[in-house]
Amino acid sequence: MGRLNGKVAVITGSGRGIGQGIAVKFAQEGAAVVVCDLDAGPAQETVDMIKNAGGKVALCTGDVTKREDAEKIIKTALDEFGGIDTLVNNAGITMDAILHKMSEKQWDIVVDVSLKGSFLMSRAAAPHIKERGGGTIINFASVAGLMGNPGQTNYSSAKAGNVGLTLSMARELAGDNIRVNVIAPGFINTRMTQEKKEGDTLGIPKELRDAAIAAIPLKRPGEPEDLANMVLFLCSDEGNYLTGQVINMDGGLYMKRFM
Amino acid sequence: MKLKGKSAIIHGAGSSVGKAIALTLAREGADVLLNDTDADAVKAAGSEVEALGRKAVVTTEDPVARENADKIIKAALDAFGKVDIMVNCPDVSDDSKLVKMEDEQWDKVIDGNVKAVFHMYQAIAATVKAQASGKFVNLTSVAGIAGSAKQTNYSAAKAAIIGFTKTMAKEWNRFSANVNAVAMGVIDTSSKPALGKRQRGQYAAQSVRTATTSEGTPQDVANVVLFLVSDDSNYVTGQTIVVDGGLYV
Repeated sequence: MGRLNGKVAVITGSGRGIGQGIAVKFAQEGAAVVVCDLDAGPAQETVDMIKNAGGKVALCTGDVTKREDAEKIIKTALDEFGGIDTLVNNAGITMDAILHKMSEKQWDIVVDVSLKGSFLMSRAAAPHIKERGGGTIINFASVAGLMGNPGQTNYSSAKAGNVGLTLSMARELAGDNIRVNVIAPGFINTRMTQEKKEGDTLGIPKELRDAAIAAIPLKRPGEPEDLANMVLFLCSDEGNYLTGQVINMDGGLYMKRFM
Repeated sequence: MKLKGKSAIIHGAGSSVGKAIALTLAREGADVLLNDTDADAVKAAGSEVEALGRKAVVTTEDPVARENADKIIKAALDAFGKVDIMVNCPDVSDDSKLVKMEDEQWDKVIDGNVKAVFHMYQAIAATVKAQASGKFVNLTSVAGIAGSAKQTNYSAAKAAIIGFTKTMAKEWNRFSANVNAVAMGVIDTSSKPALGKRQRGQYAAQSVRTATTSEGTPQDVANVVLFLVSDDSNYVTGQTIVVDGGLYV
């Protein structure tokens, strides 16, 4: 008996990394999953992983920054599985530059994908989650949003924005029995944080990467599965009394301050 | 006087809080550039600054567009030759329930409260680097810290300002600049009420009031901003100071 039997979940940005980890975990626990990503190839890979394991899955490629795409993604859940119980707003992007070198395009893309996308997807999903008698929405912040991070004015603004968005949504949707929480990951092993070798466009140079890991109290990066476990907990019945919470998954990198 | 010989830019100086900040800084000796798209309000505020014997420059640009932010900074440099202080207090709101909020409402509030501030910092970056000093304050709201129904756009924007403030504090630490935020609670703004009756009730129900039972005044906010732009706060940066009368304790 899976912890999400009978549930339908939409997971944005689930073609790779953290989103893929969540999608696979959800399917293992019995949820029907809508995989969505801007890129069709990686999205199909996640779909195949779930199918091969005998899970229920549907695919919808789309851009979460566009109203019609957000609505199309939610409609996929309604058409394929008859409703939606859980939305995971995992889609996000970084485009770093120190302030005076950041272009308006870099600002707009990061704020739109990482913040407006959460709004557009949630707006499209909320009435349908309500129809099911309630459910859950997960947004993603980041320790960069909670602590600030040089070179990431765009990303830290967008990720901090997800905290404010989550708190307002949690208050507003509580009456519909929709729980809304936000997870702030720290250093997680993905293609964005892998060791950058010659010719790589993504990743972090070895010295910087080693220094970042040394600063984590647990002295190791997190894995996508660590996050998937937390999302599963929050979206399962075990998380039934949690709403409006900011949960750090960061190996102690940003310990909560008592003040 | 705490700010003798200093010059300041106040974006959003046409609002009652922005005006209180402009007058408080002027009383402490600062010359002030006041910017607001509400031309009548900002001109009136500028006249009050002049009446205190300080230089006042009034602009009516909307820094959501980068070139307008550049115009504001240039006007200040032309008039004062330097900028020691910048306070951003835009307050753009357009409330709706999540499911009824239009894309335009979202964009207007995110851009007016966050992108405009981003552009103000970009426009002044070269000056800060050259001066190797500066005091910066961004006004935000408890809506960004605690959430507020029907304000998903506003609370997202105001929370974003807190993340932005922390990143700027870290980026500009090497220029000896202090970057902080002030989060306002329910402030009595006679010209433009900050919150309707319904929202006031909502805040009251959500909170456990401690120190005060009345609304704050624009001067309460301006006093904290003054501290953060004066030398008294040289070792304070990256912080968000909550000015809410103990609303969220």
